[in-house]
Amino acid sequence: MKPENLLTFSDVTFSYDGEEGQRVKVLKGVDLSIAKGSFVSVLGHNGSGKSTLAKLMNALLLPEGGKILVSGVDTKDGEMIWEIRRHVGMVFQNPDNQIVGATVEDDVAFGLENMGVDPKEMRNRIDEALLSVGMEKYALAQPYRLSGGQKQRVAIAGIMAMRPSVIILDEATAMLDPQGRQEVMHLARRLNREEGITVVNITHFPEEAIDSDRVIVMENGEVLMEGHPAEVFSQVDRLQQAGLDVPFVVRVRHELIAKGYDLPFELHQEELVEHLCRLLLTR
Amino acid sequence: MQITFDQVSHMYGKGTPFERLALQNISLTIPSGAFVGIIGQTGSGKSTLIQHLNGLLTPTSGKITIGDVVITPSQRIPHARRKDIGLVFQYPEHQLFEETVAKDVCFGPLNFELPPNMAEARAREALEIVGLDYETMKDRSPFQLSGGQMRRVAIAGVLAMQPKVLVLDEPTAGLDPAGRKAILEGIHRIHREQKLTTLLVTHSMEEAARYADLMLVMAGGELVMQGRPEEVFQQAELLRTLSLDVPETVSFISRINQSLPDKESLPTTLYREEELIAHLLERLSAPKEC
Amino acid sequence: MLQNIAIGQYVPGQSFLHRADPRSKLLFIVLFATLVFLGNNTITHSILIGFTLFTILLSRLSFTYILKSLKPVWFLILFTVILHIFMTKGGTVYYQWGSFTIEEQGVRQAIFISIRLGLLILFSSLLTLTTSPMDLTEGLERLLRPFGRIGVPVHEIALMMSIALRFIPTLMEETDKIIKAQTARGADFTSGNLVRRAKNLIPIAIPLFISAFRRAEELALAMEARGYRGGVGRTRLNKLQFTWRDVAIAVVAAALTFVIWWWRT
Repeated sequence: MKPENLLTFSDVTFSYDGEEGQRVKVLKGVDLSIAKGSFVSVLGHNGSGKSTLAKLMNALLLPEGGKILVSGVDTKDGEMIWEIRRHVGMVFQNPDNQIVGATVEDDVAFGLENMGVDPKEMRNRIDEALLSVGMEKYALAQPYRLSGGQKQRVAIAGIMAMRPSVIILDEATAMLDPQGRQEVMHLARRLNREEGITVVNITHFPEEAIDSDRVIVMENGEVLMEGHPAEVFSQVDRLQQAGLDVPFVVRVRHELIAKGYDLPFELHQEELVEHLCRLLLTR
Repeated sequence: MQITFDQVSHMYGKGTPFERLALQNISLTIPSGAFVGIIGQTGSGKSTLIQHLNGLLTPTSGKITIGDVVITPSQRIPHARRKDIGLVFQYPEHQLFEETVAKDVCFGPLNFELPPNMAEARAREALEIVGLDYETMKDRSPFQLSGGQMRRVAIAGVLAMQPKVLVLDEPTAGLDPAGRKAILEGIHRIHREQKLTTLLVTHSMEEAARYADLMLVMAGGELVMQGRPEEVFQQAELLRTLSLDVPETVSFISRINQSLPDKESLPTTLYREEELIAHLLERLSAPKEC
Repeated sequence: MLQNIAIGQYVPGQSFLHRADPRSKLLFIVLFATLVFLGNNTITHSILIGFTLFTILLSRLSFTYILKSLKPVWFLILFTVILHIFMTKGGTVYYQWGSFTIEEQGVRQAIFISIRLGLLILFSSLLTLTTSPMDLTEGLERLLRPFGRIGVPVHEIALMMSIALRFIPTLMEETDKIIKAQTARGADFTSGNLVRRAKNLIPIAIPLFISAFRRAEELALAMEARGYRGGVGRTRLNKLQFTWRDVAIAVVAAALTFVIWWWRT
């Protein structure tokens, strides 16, 4: 059975007003689909259009041309806009600038308050959401006292409380330290695996994309590549031309096979080490 | 300039209920011309440490020597000497304020009473160092630039003071790989060309491994390790207990060495990626001994 | 360090006063203010002083700390005292110097007025010392909710206040950082005359405004992404709940009103 598509972009274009009054095209006919329950990474350097992509997914922006469907609903359908935003949660880059509440639980409540959820029901959902991101001990804490990773987890809790189908991480780890980045990525993986939440992770850290179900590479407003991480990362030259990095393991193998050594493509250290040792021992 | 810390401690909010010891008995020596990588978790005292270098914070106890300037709890750094120590804060683009790029870069030099024509020459030079063309940039508003360009202008604003010590607090945070590389390469180039003493605070072990020839590891306000990168990276266990990582190169080598017989082990000092690859190629092409 | 500065004056605690509902506290203050001005003799004033001391004990805060709240207003109290001593006439003349007299009524009024002002200020600082700004905002919103029917945007005002509260520490940290960054570039904020100093603030003020605007823009986007569409149809997380403490406050309020009413002349 073909997996159901949660998000579909067909021939989507978008542009904004540039500095000198001309229109700047950020998206030039993007076609893509994101399957329900999958973990998809979107890679691209700054200005490749990947953040615009994110904002189009929950109707913060509307496409100029083409069509975007969220669970079959057109994002241009004004009647459904709130339902779309409930379904498609967004975590932004700067942890400080997306927390509305003066306490953690107030912040988690924000989305629910917007939806008009009954206060009693709200209480349950907040507790549940904080538990699911491991922040239940901080319900009454003031957000500015939290670490960057914790703030992002609070933002995710705010989304989880709204019972979304997809969470979009719009460079949500870019401003975090390695520990915070790990916290957020672990959480996203777990929510994907255990709660069946579809995750779209927009990032420029190739390492974050290794364990995705699919990788989409954006370049200059177009989808440059898409596929399984192994398919995408095996095209090292193409990625590097697009100003993107590849994971360390891929880089090492790439350098070695360039000199004629025979190593199968791998994404993880363990496997590459195994092949390499065999090669070192049997040469 | 040589930098030494002798038993330096710093306490925030001394005498209030919020008293907190942020630096504890730090003693260190940074030789002139070194490229120092400072690593440690958020809140380990890295930022407090570097703010002592140009007198933004004064030690609660202990003594700091920078070149011939001595800083103690009672002896502050003379204003004129501040320009010797260029401090680039995290997200330095947030400090831009002038109408034009040129004016903003000149702010530092003019504060230190440089004549305007010389300040302009410095601005030109500094912008070229960070890879921006002076003529096309000088009259533009800094707020209309891209994020990466703004960051470069801000760094140029510090370089224009022609510091002898350059301190950078996570200069690549939030940038994409291309932007990160461009900035670090630029910094490394002037470090060599102008024989600066450079301190780079970073969360990225890879960045530290690539550029640093001396590393300081901070944890809980204390200096827990200092030494050459290969020495520090040998202590993978200790780093892990501090919730820090080793560069991927180092974990890669230790993985390989686990699967190889002892006499075939790779040297654990190969923490730079190019060196590691070069060594692997050499090993693969060398005829097997015995 | 800036990050340790408490917002407002709030001192966290677990006392009776800390745990009472902010709405009861707000209403009680309004009542107390009325009673303070209803009281008009030595007995009522003594009762009110005694009551205030009792409340201070109840807050379990240090007495000297609370007295500090009088510091910014002592001049105002002094001024009213002097005004009354010289202007209010009546009763025995205590002192005369030309046409200039100090009379019994004047001294009496001066004492009463300063007691009233002092008690009001002590009481309202007790409120801010024992109530977090968030609770205060929420309490106010609840109390003002009826005005929403006549078109006052109570909801929006409350949201604005709570967002402002939320961003105060963030912006303070930011200010600290910008000051340091500009100082590192040789800026001097402490010397020169007034004009010069005002001019020196530009390198701080502009980055701060730009940052505040950027934050506002990003926050607005984040709010929209989470389905914010104004106050219509919005519910609120119900956190305020009346408890036995509030019943106790109501009883005390009634008793105090009765006592003051009884003893006033």
